[in-house]
Amino acid sequence: MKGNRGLIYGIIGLISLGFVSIANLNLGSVPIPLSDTLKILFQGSTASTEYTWEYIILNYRLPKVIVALLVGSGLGLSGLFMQTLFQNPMAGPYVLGLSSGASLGVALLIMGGGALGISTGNLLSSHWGLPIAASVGSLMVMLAIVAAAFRLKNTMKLLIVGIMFAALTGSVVTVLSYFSSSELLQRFVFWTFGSLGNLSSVDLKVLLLFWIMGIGIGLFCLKNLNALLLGEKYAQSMGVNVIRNRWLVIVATSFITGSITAFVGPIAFVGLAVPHLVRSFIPTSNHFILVPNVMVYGALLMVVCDSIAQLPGSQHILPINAVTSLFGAPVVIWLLLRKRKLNF
Amino acid sequence: MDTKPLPAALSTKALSIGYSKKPLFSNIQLSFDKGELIGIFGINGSGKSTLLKTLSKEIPPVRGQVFIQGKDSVSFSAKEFAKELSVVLTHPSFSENLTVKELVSLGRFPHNNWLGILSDKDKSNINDALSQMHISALSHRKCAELSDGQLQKVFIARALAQNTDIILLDEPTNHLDLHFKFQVFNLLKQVASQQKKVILLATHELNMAMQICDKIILLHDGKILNDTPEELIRGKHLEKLFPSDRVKFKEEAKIFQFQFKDFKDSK
Repeated sequence: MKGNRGLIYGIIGLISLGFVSIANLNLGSVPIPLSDTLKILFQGSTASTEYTWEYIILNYRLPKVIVALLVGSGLGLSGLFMQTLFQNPMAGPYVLGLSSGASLGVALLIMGGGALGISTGNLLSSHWGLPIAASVGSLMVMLAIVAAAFRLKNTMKLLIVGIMFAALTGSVVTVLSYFSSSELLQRFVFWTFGSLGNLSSVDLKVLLLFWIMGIGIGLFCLKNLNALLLGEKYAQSMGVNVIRNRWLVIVATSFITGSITAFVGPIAFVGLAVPHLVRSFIPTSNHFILVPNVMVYGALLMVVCDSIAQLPGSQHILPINAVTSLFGAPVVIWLLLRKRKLNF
Repeated sequence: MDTKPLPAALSTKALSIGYSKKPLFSNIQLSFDKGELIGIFGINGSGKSTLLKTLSKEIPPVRGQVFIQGKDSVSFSAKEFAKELSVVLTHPSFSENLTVKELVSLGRFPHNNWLGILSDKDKSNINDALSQMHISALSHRKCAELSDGQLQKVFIARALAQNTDIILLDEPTNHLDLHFKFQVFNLLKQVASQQKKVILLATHELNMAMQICDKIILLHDGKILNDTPEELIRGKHLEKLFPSDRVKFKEEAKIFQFQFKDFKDSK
């Protein structure tokens, strides 16, 4: 019964995603008729369309929509995995401190050089500087969390360690910000706004590779995650290798969140809000039903947020991170008010 | 022709249990056959849960071995072991979105494929478990909406769906009213004798355990006694169990009686 409901909502979500994505491709500062957008999208170059339009759609807007799909689906899935792993409805990729780690890496690159008297100019001006710094930051936090996960058998303690890491890296970023010049600080702040449109084709391929690896590992864990709905002790009694499973979920989440944060900036709220949003209309905990829906609706939410961020009809683009929070925070508050209790 | 006797369903050899290499009890020799309901009794903190955790491989023994059907429990893979022994824990935590049937279905985890798809056999096992616990009517209810007593039956049904020869239960009648306690004991006895399972339950309900269990394990004064209720009575082991002379064991009724002070006189 719930399987059917999951399937119906999944199909509705996919169809909506198709429409919203095409609408998003049609949005932007350069007005392009819908018919031409569709022609460029489905037939490639045609004689009747302008080359500039083709260039804008295929080289700018389409990659941006693909990034939005990867980011939304990836963060939604990471949020769901974290909530089950930690048996906590408040868990999300942010709780593990992965995004904070990425922020620290970027902050060190942009502002640390000046504060420490080291020149980071070359790396900073290169195309790879920010993603590498963010990835290294995420990876360092991931390794620290994995080391803690190896020592700590209790997931609540691990959750607290994650929050402590976030606080720790946050305070280092604050200290760096305090000592850095206004120009460098501005540059860092721009990165924290998040952007779906700054990826080169190589960046997109790297992001896709990490996304596939993360999702692949995650799909391997779905049955075990269902057993974890009864807690680690029951899961263990049913034959789950709890420690190995925890490692796999953490690695999958790190791959997804780390790569997304590196290339797109810290995107808040999607990881936390999407699983709750999906559970509000598909009331199940079965990961085989939840995962496809969380990915579809995460992607849908991200494309919608990106469309809003473009402020249709204006020349301005809002920071994507601000839009996801503006949208995500009321959703979570609405869910809290509507439901007596949030579940994982 | 000589037939070799079947190995005990669950047994231990020179088992020492405890934490951090510090044994709580040493040299425990236990042996249970299929069809037996065994109550484990001891005061709070006496080591009932430690014994159950050691038998279920949640914690390693300090020394010695646990055997399942004559085979060292260490030699089982996690999945193989989950097909031999299931548990019902105290303080269950669970996702509140789960319905009764979904929770019980998780018991089939060690038996189904990596996609968790339920076969016809899985489904019939689940339905049998629900009907044995008399909770079929609750199948589609959310577990979060159930009373403590109903929830306990759901978790026992989950263990039954796991379809193992051995079931360990840690204080399954805690927080239940007298009627539910009675029901749970009855159902466990029925399952043990009709389905030939070994069921061990840690309990504080010594009066009920004495009436219905085939054997009682007493954890008292640093020693473990394991015998039938009748033998324990004959050996006068129950009289010294509580440090108060106002808790008395009545042999003929197989129950403990409490003599409360008459506070009216002290006014």
